[in-house]
Amino acid sequence: MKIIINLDVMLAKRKMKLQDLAAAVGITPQNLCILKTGKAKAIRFSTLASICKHLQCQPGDILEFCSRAKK
Amino acid sequence: MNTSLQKIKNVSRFGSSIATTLLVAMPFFYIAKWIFIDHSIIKQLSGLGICFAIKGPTAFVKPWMISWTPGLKLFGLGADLIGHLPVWMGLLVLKLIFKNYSEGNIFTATNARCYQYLAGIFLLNAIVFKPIFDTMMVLVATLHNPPGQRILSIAFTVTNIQDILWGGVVIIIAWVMSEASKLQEEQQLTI
Repeated sequence: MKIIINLDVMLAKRKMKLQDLAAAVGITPQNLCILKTGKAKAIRFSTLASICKHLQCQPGDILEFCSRAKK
Repeated sequence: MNTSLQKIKNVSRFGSSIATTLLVAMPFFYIAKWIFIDHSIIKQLSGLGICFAIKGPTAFVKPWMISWTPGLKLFGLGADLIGHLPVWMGLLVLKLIFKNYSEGNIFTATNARCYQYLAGIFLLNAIVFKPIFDTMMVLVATLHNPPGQRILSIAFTVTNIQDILWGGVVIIIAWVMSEASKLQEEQQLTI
């Protein structure tokens, strides 16, 4: 079971750079990269809300639940 | 926050240098002690309050009461080095912990592992090294006696239990450190 982060997909859809989103949200590009690559263990509601606000999307567009275990 | 970390770094650097000094000085101290064990300087130092008495089967034996041979001195040095090997290993682990602290790595998995090693050293000392050391020292103290009066004793005393308890306490600290490192990792990976 895993939560998949589709942040790269949304960034591509909105034609937005990771650095620009990081600056808009107010977090470091390194932290956003951790989130994008799926290494993050948790995300604050405030960060999620800010990302959704700037990408004009819903949390479900960024987070996806996958029941199949991936290696 | 930064000031606290800086304080930890400074204190750890000091601790690390003390551990390094002791690590280097310890073997030399024991070698010097056993070279001069039959010298009058030992008696003078004992008069100053520095204890060089050897633990015998019933009481402490003063070194100048034993007739030393080079073999017996070497045996005593070997016993002392074996007996103090856990202290030396403990200092090595402490130096590593202090080095990590001085680099700003406080709650890390490496430090938790170091505390586990420290606990292991305490237990190893209580169960293996201390009984061997005590047995060898009793032999050193009584080997100059005529045949029939030499003693070989293996003891498990309150100090051994004390060391086991200390080992247990350090195991708990190691577990807390391990959990703290997990918490810190989780906190670091919370975006």
